[in-house]
Amino acid sequence: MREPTYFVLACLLQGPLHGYAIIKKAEELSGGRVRLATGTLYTALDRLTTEGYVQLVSDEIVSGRVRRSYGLTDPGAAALRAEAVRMAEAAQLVTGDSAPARSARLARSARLARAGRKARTA
Amino acid sequence: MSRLERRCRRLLRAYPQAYRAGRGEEILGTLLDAAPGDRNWPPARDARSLITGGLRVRAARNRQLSLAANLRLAALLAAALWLGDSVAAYLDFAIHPGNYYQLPALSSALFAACALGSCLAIASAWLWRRSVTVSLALAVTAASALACSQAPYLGDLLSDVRLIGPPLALAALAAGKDRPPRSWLWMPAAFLIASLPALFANAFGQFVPYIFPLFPVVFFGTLGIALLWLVTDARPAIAFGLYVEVLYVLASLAITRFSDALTAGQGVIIALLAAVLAGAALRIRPRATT
Repeated sequence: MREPTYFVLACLLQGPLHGYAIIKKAEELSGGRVRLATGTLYTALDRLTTEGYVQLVSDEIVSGRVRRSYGLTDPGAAALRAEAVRMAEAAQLVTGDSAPARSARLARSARLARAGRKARTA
Repeated sequence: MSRLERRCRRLLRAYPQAYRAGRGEEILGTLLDAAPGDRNWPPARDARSLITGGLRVRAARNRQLSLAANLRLAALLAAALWLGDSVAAYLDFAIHPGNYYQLPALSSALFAACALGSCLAIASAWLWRRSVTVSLALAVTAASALACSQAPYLGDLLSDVRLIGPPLALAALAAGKDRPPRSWLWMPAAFLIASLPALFANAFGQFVPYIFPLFPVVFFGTLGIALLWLVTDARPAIAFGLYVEVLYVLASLAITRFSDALTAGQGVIIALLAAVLAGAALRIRPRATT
């Protein structure tokens, strides 16, 4: 999962947001490091909607323009968690970790990935 | 409408019209929300992301069909280019029968009908029903076959292929379900128009449109555009390559009438063109969006 995609999903973890709110939230969550360009955001939203990780939640008219809010689906939340665990595992390779703890996390990561796939196919 | 909005709308044209109709206002709203109030220009990174995003959407849309369907459409465009090119040859036989050992009047009339029928067949492949295209192309095939049979000196296999092949190829390829995009129609039209001036300069009984200035300009201009088009759609480039391959093979075979066989150089060029075409065909495979 690419970093912009990861942050788009992470922004939606606490509830649905519209395009501009996602850009602001991603910047906030990453401490200013990830600044999503508008085109990048909508490319990611298109892809995530097609994959079933994100869904359109509401549609409103603001200042004469349509404003759509997007929310995380169950498969999207599962994929985000699996990615977070995978990145934590990868980080542990550098920061150091005990073997039993690592295998427990790997098992958890695999479980989450399976749950995500199951939710996606359901 | 502010200057910023006008410029943002211009950038949104990178996306296909259908996509803009559904998403354009939403993206525009986000762009305007994200821009500080005193800005007249969208930020460079937003502009870049909109252009690349738009091109990506266009490329994905052009790969929606199966590989076989996309190859058929590319071959259909190649057949239309070839037929557009042949219209000038049909007209030449109709206008200058005296240049061809006094072509019989029936053949001249049939070739004139072939020229008109070919123009209609090409247009119908884009604009009208499939059955109309197939009927028109088959009628042109039959008329050109009859015209060739009436003119014995035209009766060798190679001449027949050059005159009967294009409409027959169009008839065979137009029968499929999917229709080629209208944005391609200018290509056969440009080839047809570019080959016409040669008609009025053909005083030697040798109709060679390629040596008249407009044709090379259109040929290389179209090649350039087809190559640029590769960013979002590889099919026009494949069609152009197929067209060149067919013309080159026919020209090479015409030369072999005066020699024993294809030279090694001709064989290498034909094989290279075929390899490039096979490589380009890989670009039109449907791909996963992840």
